[in-house]
Amino acid sequence: MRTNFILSFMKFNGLSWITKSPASWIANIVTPTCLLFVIYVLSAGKLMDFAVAGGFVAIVSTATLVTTGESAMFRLEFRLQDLIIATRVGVVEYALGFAFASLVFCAPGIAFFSIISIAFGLFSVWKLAATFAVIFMLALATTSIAMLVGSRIRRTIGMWSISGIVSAFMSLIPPTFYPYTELPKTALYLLAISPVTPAAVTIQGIYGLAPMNYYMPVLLVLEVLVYMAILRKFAKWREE
Amino acid sequence: MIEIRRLTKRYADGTTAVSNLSLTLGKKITGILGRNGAGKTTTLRILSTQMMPTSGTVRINGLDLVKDVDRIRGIIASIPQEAKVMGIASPMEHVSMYLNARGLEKDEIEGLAKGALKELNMWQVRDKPTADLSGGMKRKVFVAMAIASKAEIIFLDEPTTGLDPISRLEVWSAIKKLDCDTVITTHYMEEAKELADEVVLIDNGRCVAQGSVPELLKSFNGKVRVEGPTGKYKVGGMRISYLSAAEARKFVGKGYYTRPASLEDLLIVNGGGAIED
Repeated sequence: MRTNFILSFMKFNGLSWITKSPASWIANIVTPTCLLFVIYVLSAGKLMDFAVAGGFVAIVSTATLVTTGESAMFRLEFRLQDLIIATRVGVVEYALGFAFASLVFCAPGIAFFSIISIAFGLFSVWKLAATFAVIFMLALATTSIAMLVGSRIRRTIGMWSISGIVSAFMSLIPPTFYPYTELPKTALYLLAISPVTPAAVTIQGIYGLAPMNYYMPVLLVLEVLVYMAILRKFAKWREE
Repeated sequence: MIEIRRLTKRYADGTTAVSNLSLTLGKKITGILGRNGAGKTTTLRILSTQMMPTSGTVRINGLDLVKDVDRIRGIIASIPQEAKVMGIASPMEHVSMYLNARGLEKDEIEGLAKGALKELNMWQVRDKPTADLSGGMKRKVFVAMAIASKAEIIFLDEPTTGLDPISRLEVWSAIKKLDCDTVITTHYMEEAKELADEVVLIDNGRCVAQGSVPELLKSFNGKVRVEGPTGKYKVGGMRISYLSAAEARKFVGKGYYTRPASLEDLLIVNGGGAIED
């Protein structure tokens, strides 16, 4: 495992944005914060706890699923993937570089929602630590899926549309901003194919917003392993 | 040493980009010349392990391109033709990221990156976002990556495209100083002449000529290029012939121009010019 490469790619594609582009500080806060407002209005404040807890998941899933378009752009437009292929870095290390870069990119948003969670009385050190563990696993799983899809995009035309579709299906439909108990069990298990679902359900359990479903954290860990294995096997890396 | 035997690359749409190519590349700097679509980039992408060949074998320093791919990746560096910088990251961040990908040690990376950026006159802009640099500077970021790579073999796909004359000289100087074998593709005849110990001419995915520039020009046997309204080869609206100096003199002052044959003419006679009836 080339840890130095992963860290330098994190700096290259994550820290660069945070340190040089002030707009990126608010870029990943905007959508969950707007949703927070909408949920507040629609639920008359009743679902605010869900919106705050879901904010963590939404920030990370949105940022990591953008890797679909970003990795396609790095391959087709920037040709940076060709540079990397001709080294000993493999597709999983490359994906980890994207995952860590996305997490750094998300850092201001995560900090912002941590503050909000204090304001809503949801905060405790262990809850926050558990949340960080969940969103870290989520980042690994969603980046693997995003890289896999991104590696199969053949033309630059449409790469951002595909990225948007993947992001919408995988991050908006799962129970990120509403109690998972509202879903019929079959629907919950169907939606569990997206790592966002086990992550969101686990976080709702951590914050005591819904009963803890102990299958979900286990499922999340399994999904990290399975999606990384699928990425390694099926991602387009050396061109055929 | 790169040994290419019967290398073929056919794309899924049926296009054959490289056809039965056999070559041995062993000089310090090899220049691959050819028209757009001749197969230069495809050949380079295969050699640098970015693309699988359809058939044929390649051995790089004795290692098989398919079986020993990981070991080959440890000794090569490759800069793609259309590589673009990521605007937010600085030249230093680009070079460091690449050297980390090549597995170099942290304390080594800083020195190598510094040396390469200084060599290419980029040290003053090392920490600037590359979005703020000129087009030529952006291209030089990739050349800096290659120079700093410490690879045994470097593949550069059109390294000086878009550079101003001074930047081009800086890149040439840096390439000449490299302590490794280098394979470059180029459209610039003077670049091949200036840099390459050996030139390989590719057309339609096949090697049509190989040798040093003086050796290749010997094939003209002292003939000069005559441009005018008639001629054997057609290039755009121009007609070109290759004639002895005595024959060429007859055309002077009658709307024809003469000049010594060059590498460009090798391209014309080897498929670059349509033959007129």
